[in-house]
Amino acid sequence: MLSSSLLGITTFIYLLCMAFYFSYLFFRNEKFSKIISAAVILGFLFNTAGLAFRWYESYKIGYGHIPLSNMYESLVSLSWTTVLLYFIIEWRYKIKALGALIFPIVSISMAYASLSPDIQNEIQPLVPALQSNWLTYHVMTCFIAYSAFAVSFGSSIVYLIKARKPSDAKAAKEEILPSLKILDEIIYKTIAIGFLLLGIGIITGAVWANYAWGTYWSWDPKETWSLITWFIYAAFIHARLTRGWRGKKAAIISIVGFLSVLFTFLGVNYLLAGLHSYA
Amino acid sequence: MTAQKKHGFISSVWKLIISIRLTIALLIILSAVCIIGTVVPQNKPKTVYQKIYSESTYNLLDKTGCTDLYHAWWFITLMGVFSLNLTACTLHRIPRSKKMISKSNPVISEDHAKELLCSKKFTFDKTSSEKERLFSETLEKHLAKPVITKTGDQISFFSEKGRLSPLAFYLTHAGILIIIIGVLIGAFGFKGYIQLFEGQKKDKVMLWDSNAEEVIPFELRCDKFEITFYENNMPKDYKSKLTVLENGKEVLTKTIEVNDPLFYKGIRFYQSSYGTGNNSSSAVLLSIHPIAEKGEVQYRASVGETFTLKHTKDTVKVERLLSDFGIDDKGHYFSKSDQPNNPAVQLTLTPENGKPYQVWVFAKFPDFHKRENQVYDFHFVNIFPTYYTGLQVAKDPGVLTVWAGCLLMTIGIYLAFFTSHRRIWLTLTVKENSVQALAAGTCTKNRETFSEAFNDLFDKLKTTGKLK
Repeated sequence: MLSSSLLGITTFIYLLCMAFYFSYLFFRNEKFSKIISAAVILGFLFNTAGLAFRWYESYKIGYGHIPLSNMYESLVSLSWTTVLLYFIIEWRYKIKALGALIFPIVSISMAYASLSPDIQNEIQPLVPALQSNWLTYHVMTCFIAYSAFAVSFGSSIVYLIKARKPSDAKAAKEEILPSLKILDEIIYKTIAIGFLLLGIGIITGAVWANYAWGTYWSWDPKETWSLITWFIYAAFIHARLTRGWRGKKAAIISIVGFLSVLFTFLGVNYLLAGLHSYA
Repeated sequence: MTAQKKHGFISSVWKLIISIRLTIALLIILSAVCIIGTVVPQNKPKTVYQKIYSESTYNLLDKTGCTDLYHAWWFITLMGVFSLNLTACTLHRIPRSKKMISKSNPVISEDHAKELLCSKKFTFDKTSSEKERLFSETLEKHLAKPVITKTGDQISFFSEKGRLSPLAFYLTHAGILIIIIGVLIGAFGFKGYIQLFEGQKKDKVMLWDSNAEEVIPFELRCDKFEITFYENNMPKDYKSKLTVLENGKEVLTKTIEVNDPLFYKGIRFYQSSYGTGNNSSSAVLLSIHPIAEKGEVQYRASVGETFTLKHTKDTVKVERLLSDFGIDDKGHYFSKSDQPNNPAVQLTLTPENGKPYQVWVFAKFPDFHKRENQVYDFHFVNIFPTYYTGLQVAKDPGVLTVWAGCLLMTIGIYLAFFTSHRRIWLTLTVKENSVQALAAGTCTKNRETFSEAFNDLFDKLKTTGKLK
């Protein structure tokens, strides 16, 4: 099917972007910058087209649903939101180095989606429980939140790498990594976005559960893990706003938070059983 | 304990309760506890735990409440402390917030300006009403329409936005408290399930958390249950046509499906499962003919029904139907499961002239019933099981409160992160040959961005001042 080929090409371009970002960091050559941006945009367009065609193809088969219904579609959509959000940040803060951390994450998830034998990439019909508009609201808000946390995770890693060596004046001039101050701001802002959207994602999930199952909260492992993640970031925000935890400490909590996001998204599906067994 | 000591104790407890350290600690503890709840299966029958854990581990988990963690007394206590901490912190902050949102003086002194995030000065030759209009316009474009105060030789412009932004804190935290209140109100409701065969009606709900029944103030009848499949045999839709009856009168009929429940008198009915079973309305297809003759005649009959065989006055009654035939050690017949593994039907044959006798006819063992001197040959051709619909039933009077809390909390978080109280002052002091301008500004969030924007504004104001 066309969508699968488009998404296969997307995976390839994202891998290329990763290589570009690495060489940008390694050779410290600003000339790369335009090529990288072009590659990212191209990859993003293929990703968009792949998702759009998959959506269209699902209608052609007669199932007709947004591509958010199984692990394959989730990983592809998640890559899409992550690249979009990352690109906005790259453009807003005029920094490129972060891409060297974001694109490995995106490429791995795309490659895993296409190649893993555990993941079916055929379009499947929706089971009755998922046939609702809440699917879109709930999953989209959660995914944008996950992407925001992924960007914050990437920035935290860069922060810790950069904070390890004190840069002298000459090095600072050639420094290709963004300044600690900017990294700290990106970490905080992306967490703020993620925290709000994960909150909305949990609420839309509760509203939907109440509508479909008659109970807004059932302590299902996925629900509980999303709450744990939300608590960790709540702790981050409180520590920062009232106790002034910035810099290294904040970066470390942000990394812990992202590990919890990963467990919420993947770990729960593979290791724990529950109501969310379909996605 | 002396009075002073007692006082000291109370105040240190109070200090703990209003501390954000406690909040952070509670968030971490709650997260850790919830992790246990996702790893240890919750509310499962004992046999499930015995498969995973040793007896002593199981006893430990059971005694500490880990097998029903979210209802354990200590978990509820933790949530209680969390709510208390939240309430106390919120109340404790009121005086500070009052100060934060109190009206600012539209005129700023030089000393005060120095303490603010940004303050810069410039001088220019002469002011004019045209320039003052431009200053006002620039400020309006940058932030908000300024308040202009003229006192003696001073003209002050004051512009602000988001004065109530610090209140977002209250929205967020009040929202969370309202959610908790909604959860508590929900304890006055119930959750359970009903199984209804097509045509059956009930006014009792089996409760989930106890084995008791809840009587609802009306009857619910299932008129029809339907299931459709996709081409690959995945279920596409379950639908139940339900009718609400009050005092035997039909008041409401609705076809429900997953994601589209029935709501009546505060109680919701959700399509959650279905199954097949054999009840009084199940039917069987039998083929019966005298052994001596050829040619079969088929009869369709429900359980309990009596029919007359063709060309005779002999009658057959369908006594009962077992989908998975079994005999227990006392010789009683029973069905081993709801699955049609070994369907059997018990018939009573009453010949026109003679004694009635009973036979068991098996669908999978057509010759089993045969015996000597038998007049008829029976075949159990087919079974028409009745579908039943499984409905989740919930009454939760706290649900709207929970949603209200969620809404407040979401708005609160949005305002808390993405709005800020921003203030900018511009004071022009007219001296003999020049005008001294003082620009100052402050904000409650995103200080970096604000400072950058302030510098841009300052340059614009300076340019305006230098105009001829």
